[in-house]
Amino acid sequence: MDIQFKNVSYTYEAGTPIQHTALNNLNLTIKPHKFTAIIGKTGSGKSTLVQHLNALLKPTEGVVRIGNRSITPTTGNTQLKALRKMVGTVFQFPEAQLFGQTIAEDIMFGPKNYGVKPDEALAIAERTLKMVGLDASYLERSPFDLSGGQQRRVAIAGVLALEPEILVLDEPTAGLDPKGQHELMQLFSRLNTEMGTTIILVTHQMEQVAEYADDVIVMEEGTVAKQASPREIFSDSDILANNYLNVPRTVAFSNELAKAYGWNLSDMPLTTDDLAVDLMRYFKAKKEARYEG
Amino acid sequence: MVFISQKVRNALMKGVDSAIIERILMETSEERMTKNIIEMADVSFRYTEENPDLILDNVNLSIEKGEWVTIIGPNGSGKSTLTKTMNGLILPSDGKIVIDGTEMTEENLWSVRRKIGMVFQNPENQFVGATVEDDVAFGLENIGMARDEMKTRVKDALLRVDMWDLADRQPANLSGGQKQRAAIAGIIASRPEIIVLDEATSMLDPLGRQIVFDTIKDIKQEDNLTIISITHDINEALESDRIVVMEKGKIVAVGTPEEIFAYGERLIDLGLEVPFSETLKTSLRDVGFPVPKEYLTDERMMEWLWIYNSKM
Repeated sequence: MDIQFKNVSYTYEAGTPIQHTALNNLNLTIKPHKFTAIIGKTGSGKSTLVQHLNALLKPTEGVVRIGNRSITPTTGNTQLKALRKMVGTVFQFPEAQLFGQTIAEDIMFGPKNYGVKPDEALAIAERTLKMVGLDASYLERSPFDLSGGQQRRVAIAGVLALEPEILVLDEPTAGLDPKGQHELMQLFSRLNTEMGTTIILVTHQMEQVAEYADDVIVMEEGTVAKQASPREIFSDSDILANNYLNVPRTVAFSNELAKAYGWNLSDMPLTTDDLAVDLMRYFKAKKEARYEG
Repeated sequence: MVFISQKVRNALMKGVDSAIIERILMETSEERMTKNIIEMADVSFRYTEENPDLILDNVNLSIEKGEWVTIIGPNGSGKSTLTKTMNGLILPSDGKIVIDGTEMTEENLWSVRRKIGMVFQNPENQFVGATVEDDVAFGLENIGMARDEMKTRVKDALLRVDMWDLADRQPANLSGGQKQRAAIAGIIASRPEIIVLDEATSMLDPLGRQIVFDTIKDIKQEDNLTIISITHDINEALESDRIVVMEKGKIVAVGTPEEIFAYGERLIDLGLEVPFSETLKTSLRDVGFPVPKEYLTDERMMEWLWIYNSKM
């Protein structure tokens, strides 16, 4: 299911003195079953963009197409229910939206809303809770007695319970400890590779982009500055500088080696494993060259 | 152990009468008390009587005025709860908390709170002003600051976090990172004696995070403020005076950054990331490089690679 934005603009508080354009005649295509990262400065329009994917915001101008459905400025809210089951969105700080007396109630709410029977909804709750790393003993607990990190997992379980085809994640790991971040990123990656879920991730962490993304969209002042593979993005020094983006630590380290010692490793290393392999290969080649010379 | 200060010793040697010595003793003990701006003694917290899980388990911690203390620990270890007890957002089930020489009670909560500015990860619910500028001014209006000075301070604070251009925006319409900047501008303008940052820069891009971090360092220096920061950012932890490590509601270690970083791989369990050079070292070892065991900074790692290459 392709996602397409055609000439999409979005203005907050349109028609008032404080109106402010967050998306400006934006065009893009997001491929199905891919892992797409959206990066850019704070305020560049990333969150506004992804809030269009489940029609939480409707474009002020233009069309958003998700599969064969279109969202235009005049789309009525009643047409959106099916779309919202298809597109699961984990907003910034999703834990702020928890409301159930128990965790089970909170996660079951979505499926029940779409007509799933209570016992089946409970089974879904148990399964999705396990996916986010919490066991069944949590089902009857209050979500409000949990730590912030655990609340985040419960909120994500609530989104996964609808088994969305497209999963939109707006900085889902901000503020989590690195171990928790890694576990959640692994979960999203598994959903992508094993279930074919389309993943759209807004992030500031270039290491996440390097490790997981197939495709990267760089947002700048409400429009797409560039859309390409992580390797292409991280080798485009202009686009990085213009958008205050840094390269992953591995690339920065490799650049340092080039600058200090003149070692030009062949590939752009996106993980430390890549970098180690590149270094070994480079050293061996140099050694052979020395013997031959 | 009886602590006798130089003042008392001098008085005793001069043979002054006991009433004066008593007074000096009281004064010096007060001085010693107020040197610690925060003292927590045997602080415990549980949500309800029925739920026996201790979120804070007998915590003892003293923080000196002017210190920058980083609190680390995995999610759920009690870091946020600990800082919330410092300004009475959460009242401990047991133990006592002394802020700047005053033991916190339900009665004096409001005067104690004036000394502490807190910025949470999600400042959404902290905004009160109709615009960013109003919001930053709010805290200053509350303490009755003159209008001209207030305007200058607000502008200065917003400029420092690169938010002056957005001064007349509604806080609700800001992006996540801009909200965090606006909230931080609020404490930069009001400069409370104690600033508590709970993952307060988690939504900022790396450059934005550096700008905010440098600004807070500057105002700390200018006004000798005390900073308590909860973070998972290893670079920020590295620059603080002391690191407090929490696990399951307890303080399990306190030390300088160098002492705590010597924990190596165990840092992951403690809620911090492992330094890049350590991760690289593991990858290098996996493909057959004979890397040394001890901790290397990025620079030392580069040097090691150079030497290894020249010997090959």
